[in-house]
Amino acid sequence: MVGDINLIPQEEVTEQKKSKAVKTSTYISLGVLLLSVLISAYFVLAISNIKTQIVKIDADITSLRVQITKLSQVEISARNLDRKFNILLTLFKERPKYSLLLEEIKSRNPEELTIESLDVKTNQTTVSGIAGNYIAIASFINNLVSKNFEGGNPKLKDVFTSVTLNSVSLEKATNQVKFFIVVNFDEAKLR
Amino acid sequence: MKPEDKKTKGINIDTGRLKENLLNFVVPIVAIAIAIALAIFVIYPSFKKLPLVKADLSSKAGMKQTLSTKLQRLNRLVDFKSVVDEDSGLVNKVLVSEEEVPRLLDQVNQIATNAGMSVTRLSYSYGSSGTSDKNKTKAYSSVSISLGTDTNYEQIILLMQSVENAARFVSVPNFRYSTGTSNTGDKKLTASFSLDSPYLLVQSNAVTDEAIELDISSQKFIDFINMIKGLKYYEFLNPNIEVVKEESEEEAEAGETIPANSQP
Repeated sequence: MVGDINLIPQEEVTEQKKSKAVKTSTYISLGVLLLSVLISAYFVLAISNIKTQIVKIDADITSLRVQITKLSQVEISARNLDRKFNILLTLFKERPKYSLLLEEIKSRNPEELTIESLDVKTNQTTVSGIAGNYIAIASFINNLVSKNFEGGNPKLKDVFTSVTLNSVSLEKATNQVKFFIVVNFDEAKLR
Repeated sequence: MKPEDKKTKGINIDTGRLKENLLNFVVPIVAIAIAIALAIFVIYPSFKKLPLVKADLSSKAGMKQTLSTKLQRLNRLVDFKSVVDEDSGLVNKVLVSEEEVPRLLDQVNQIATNAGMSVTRLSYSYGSSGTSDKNKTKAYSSVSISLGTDTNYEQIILLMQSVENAARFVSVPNFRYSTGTSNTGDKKLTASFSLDSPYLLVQSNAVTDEAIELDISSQKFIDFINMIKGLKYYEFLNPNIEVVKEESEEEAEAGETIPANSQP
């Protein structure tokens, strides 16, 4: 059996290993150093660049502020106008047009029925009156809640959400029927 | 054993070999030391600082943009000063700066009489404060008017339409009418209306760094101005109109009849 015989002296082997270790560690450490330098350079340049931009923007801001300050009277007028404009927008948007409601009630009111009193509040109105017969009252209530009623304003087809008949009574002397109803309506449709 | 080897309490330190090894690895050691120093004194602080600096840049760029837009709008307002003055005048007719109670009562009286109504009662009180949508703080004050009339259904509709088209803003929170009998025995319709009219004294300040939202060339603003141009302005016909001031909740004294042109 032939065995391998290493004729290189042990000291030389150690020296070679040491040399290789020095070489490898030198390359790795120099690589790490180079990477650190590059990352550092990136950060320094990036921050420096941003700071330069900030200085330029600061100068622009100062210039703009000076120009705006010279127009302070115009600014006050604009702010006054803007505030009133916004408040009025809200007021107009929230104001219900009760003229539309009254016209809609009138259009849905049958001829045989007379409204004697009307009390309109937010989203609700109470109506009382007299009618020639019960059918007229029923017709009035049906007209109010009908979403297919064709005589009125098409935009207000479903303005009335519910109708409650609170009382109805026959007056024998006049042979007429008195009624009292509560009508709920969607005020948003009147805006 | 070599002569330079030291023997100290059983620990052998070959300083010669140590020095030799250190000399062999001097380049890697120095390189790693510099890399660590860079990481500690440059990379880590910069890594922490960079987002802050970027945020600062972004904030300043935003401020510059805001100021730039604001300056553009102000310059446009200067260029169209006559239009702005006209628009301000129109807006001030719709939302007045002071109560101007006599003028308001005269407007309501004119509306009612123009509609064919017979005014039986006209009184006012100071109403509650209103709030706007944006913030729920007090936005404006209001005058509340109580109007009583002899009328008919058509006239009520006409009054409502006139109120809705009047230059000075008036809203009708509630109203009622009922059929009654006159002294002569005729049937008549009596109606009562509660009307509110806001007023607001605006005293803004110039705040350099705050944007101006008003854009007179925006469609929303143009539509609004066109809308209020179509409203009817009522001239002040009867400055000496007699009215009753009603007691408001805060007032201790009872209501009294006062000339409307006197200040409350």
